[in-house]
Amino acid sequence: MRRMHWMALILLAGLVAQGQSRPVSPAGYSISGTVVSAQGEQPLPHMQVMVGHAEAQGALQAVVSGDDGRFQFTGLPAGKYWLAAEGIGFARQNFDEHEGFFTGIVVGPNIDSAGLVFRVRPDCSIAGSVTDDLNDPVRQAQVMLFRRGVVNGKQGTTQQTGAVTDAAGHYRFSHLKPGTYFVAVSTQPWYAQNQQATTQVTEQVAAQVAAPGSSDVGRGEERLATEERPAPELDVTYPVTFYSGTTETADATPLDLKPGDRVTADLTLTPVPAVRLRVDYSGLNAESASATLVRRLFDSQEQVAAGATQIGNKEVELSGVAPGRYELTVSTFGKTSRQWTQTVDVAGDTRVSARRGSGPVAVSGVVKTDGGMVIPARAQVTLRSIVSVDVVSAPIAASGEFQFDESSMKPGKYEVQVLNFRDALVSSVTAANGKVDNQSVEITGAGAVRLVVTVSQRLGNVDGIARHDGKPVAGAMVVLAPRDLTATTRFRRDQSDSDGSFSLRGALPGKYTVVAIENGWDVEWLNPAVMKTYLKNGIDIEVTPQGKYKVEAKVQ
Amino acid sequence: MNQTVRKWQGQWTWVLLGGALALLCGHAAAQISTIDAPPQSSDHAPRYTLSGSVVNSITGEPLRRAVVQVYGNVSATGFSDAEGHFEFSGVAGGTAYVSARKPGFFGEQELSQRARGVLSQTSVQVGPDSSAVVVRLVPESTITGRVTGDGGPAETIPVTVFEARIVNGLKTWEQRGAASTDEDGSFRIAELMPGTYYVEFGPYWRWMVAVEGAKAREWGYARTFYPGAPDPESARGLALAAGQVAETDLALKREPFYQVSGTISSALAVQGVSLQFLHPSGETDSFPLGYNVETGKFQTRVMAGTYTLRARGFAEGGTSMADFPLTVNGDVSGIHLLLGPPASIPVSLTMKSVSGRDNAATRGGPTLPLTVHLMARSVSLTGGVAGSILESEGKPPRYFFRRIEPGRYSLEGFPSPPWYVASAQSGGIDLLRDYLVVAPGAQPEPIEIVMRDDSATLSGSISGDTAAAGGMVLLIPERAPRRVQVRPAGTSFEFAGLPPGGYSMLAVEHADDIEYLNPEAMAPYLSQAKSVTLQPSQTTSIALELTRVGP
Repeated sequence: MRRMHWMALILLAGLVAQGQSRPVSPAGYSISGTVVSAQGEQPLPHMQVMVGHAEAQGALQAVVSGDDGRFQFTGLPAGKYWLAAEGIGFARQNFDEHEGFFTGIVVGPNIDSAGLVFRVRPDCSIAGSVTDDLNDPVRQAQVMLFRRGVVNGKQGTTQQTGAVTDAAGHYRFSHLKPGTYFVAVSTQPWYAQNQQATTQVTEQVAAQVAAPGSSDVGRGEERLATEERPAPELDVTYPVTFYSGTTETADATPLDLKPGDRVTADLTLTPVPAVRLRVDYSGLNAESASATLVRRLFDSQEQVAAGATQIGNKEVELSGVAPGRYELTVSTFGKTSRQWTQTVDVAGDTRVSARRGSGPVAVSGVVKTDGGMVIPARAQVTLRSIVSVDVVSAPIAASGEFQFDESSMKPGKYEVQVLNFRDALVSSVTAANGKVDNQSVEITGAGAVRLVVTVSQRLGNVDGIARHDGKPVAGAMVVLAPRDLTATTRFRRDQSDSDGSFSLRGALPGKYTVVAIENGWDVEWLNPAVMKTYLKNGIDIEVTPQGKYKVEAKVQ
Repeated sequence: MNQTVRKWQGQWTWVLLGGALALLCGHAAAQISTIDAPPQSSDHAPRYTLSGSVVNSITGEPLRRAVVQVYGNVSATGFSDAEGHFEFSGVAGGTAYVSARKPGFFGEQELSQRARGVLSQTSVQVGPDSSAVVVRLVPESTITGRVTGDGGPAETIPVTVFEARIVNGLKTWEQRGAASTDEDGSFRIAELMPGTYYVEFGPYWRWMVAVEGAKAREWGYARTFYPGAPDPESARGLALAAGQVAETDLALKREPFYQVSGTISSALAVQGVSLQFLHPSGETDSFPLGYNVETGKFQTRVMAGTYTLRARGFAEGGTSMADFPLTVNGDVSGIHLLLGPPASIPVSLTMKSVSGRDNAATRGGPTLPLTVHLMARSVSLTGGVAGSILESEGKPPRYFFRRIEPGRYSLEGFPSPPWYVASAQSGGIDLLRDYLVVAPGAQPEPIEIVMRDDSATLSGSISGDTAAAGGMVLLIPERAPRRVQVRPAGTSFEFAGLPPGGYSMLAVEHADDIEYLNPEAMAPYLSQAKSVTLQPSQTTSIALELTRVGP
């Protein structure tokens, strides 16, 4: 069972509410069981256990588990339900939950849903304190939590959440799932003073500099700025520091959390001289510009809080920067607004020229539909960056034509998707002047790119039962793997419910293999080498447009 | 460029900068206005050394790594060292100001500004025999605590710290900090100045999304003030000294939420509604509301209790409202709220001139010699200040207070001398003495205001320690003790446009400390007051001695 999308939930909740008026057999069916801790299997009293229709978010009943951890729901109509539990030290979790999937509980004639063992994972936490080189607490420091794991079939380390230290320098991340984590701190010394003294620009992420006609101000600042530099002991910064005290991601200490672990990760920050990065944008033919820095932390990106000052004519200075490698984005303003991106290595005070070659790209194209489908009024094409968090979108005209705003396009590799297109999905992409790999396109920045995006609404559904030796298996990971294992957008997944049933919806027409894996939630299913080993015991299926299939999957 | 770099004890480097140096963050710096860069002194002007130390004002301990800033004829910034010492060399002679800042501490000037609205700065004379400066930083106070609910720590409970302050003679609540409890139920609110604080916990509710008719029951914690009071007036304040850390542990009791549902109807087509639960204490709570614009059905939830359910409907034609008395001890359904326009109170103005001046108001003249408001002031944390200004319509003008929601109001008039409000009544209530209480759905009696122009003028002088900043002269009419007038206590003062009658007068050091608009709060001081009786059109003067009152 898959956790529902929010919009779908609202819709379904309405349907369920209507369905309520139908008379229900007063006896109904029941779901009962025991809540136990996944760490040690001991029964858990005082847990709130909730049940609701599998296709809706709203709870139908809620009970508190007894001293022996037991719970029971009665009077349920035949059907499929979600089961969830929460309590102190246990964040809300669905029955056998994995990555947004869970095992739905089925009740009905001759289906026994009594005696369930609901294993709930005790929350983990990471807490600690951040101190400076004199062992004073660092207040208001940004603490970042990264998690390493398989997300959407790929191994990676991405930022999960953030916290801010309190007046004692303490931070805490609560209600974490077991896993491998990294902690990093990004902040400035409280006494840091990095900007030119007289410019009086408060610290900000990006400085929007000067409307047209303000060049006088800029010149005035240049004169003063070159005279007034902050005292060297105040012109310092903290580099991003990872637990347990390194500034390199490669040397960061992983925190392996087992269920219920509460670990302490204290960090000490040491100031380093801040450097200045002066960006000369005179070559970009712009009236004014702003500059921002982004740094890569594991597989996430973080925008750097650097003070920005307009220096003279056609220059922006970023101060308070820690030495390192950054992606520099220059946004230019004038008759047209554009963005230019390049990589910079900053060791000491550095001057760079914003390069034209890194600049914006014209991307346009046309959407074609299969089966003569009319393009919806608010439909959009989106390009989702594969490596960064960037997403750009463009409206689709009734003719199918679309054109991206040049100023917001950066070179890179993007996945092509459609939005507000009813249930339709992108089935293929071709590009003139761009390299296409399945549904992703690489935009190099060398000339305009023209895309042809084919969209299909005629999707297939594959339902089935996961069995092992003829008996239904609950909680198996079921994957619909396309013949081309690199076509990542064609994969579909589900978790088998208590009667072994699963449902793989919205498959693009094509050849697939259905694979069911018991305890398969650590399998890198998007890794072709890994997936290949499971294919031979899978069930091959060809999905035709709007085809509906019933399969029996052998659980491996 | 006038830049001198010097090593001091081999530990910290000092840099003197010619020109202004703006510190961009920190408490102390925010209150210091940057002084413009002076003209560069000639190299032959004598230079001196300015040294001193930064200490904790309570313990006397030296404070290391405070940022010390000197400004005046020259600006300089640097750290204090491990012993709290600092030293600047090459400082021009004359007056200089020294400040320091460090996280966890307040500058004394910040405290004085909070208390008195006055910014005091540490100034030093820099010269051949200038002595060492001691900059005292006041340690912050902190409130920590642990909140438990039934069966364990209570997490994500909002905690808010308030301080009662007297602003313009009335008590008001000001928020001083906020936090949320962590998974252990713990919280910490720092950066508090010395003072008396009230700590509010909650309200907190935890709602599942439940299907209609579900057996699921919601629960929450009611708003609770340390150490367990339902409102701030019955709570205990925590008097915090500088540097003190107060522990405020609290056990909350989980309470069920009950469903409250019904319909809201209105003559106007409302685009949206809001619902508030008014507690008898004056506190107000709102909880998530389901409302169907088409059918008018609403549904919300609340804990058991006695409330006034106040509905407001928002339409293009204005706000309409309804009040519904409600006792909740189980699900309540079938409530019908009929939104109606708020009360409108006609006002009659009578001008009685003894000097033959024009009766502007009755003749429909262009200006009225007064502005009048009806003000509802709530002393609760969640209630606000509401009011209505006198409106006129037609010719000759008729006057109204419109959109008066149920509540307790005071009539506040500001006549231009020599006019004064001789009387103000509504259905037998003397509005100069008493409040106007507007009941839900009731149409208040018209307000009759009589104005006269034979007012008296009172001037005078003050003896005693008039140098005290913030000193005030209070003039308390015997007939209307809430209508206190205030003047800053210079060496002299003047009140014009006074209604004839008896008055009590006080000159006090700090009117900020006295709730002078509250007759009960003023009662203890009246024995020290000087009595004066003013005749119609009299001009007189009085000599007053400064009285030391207040906490």
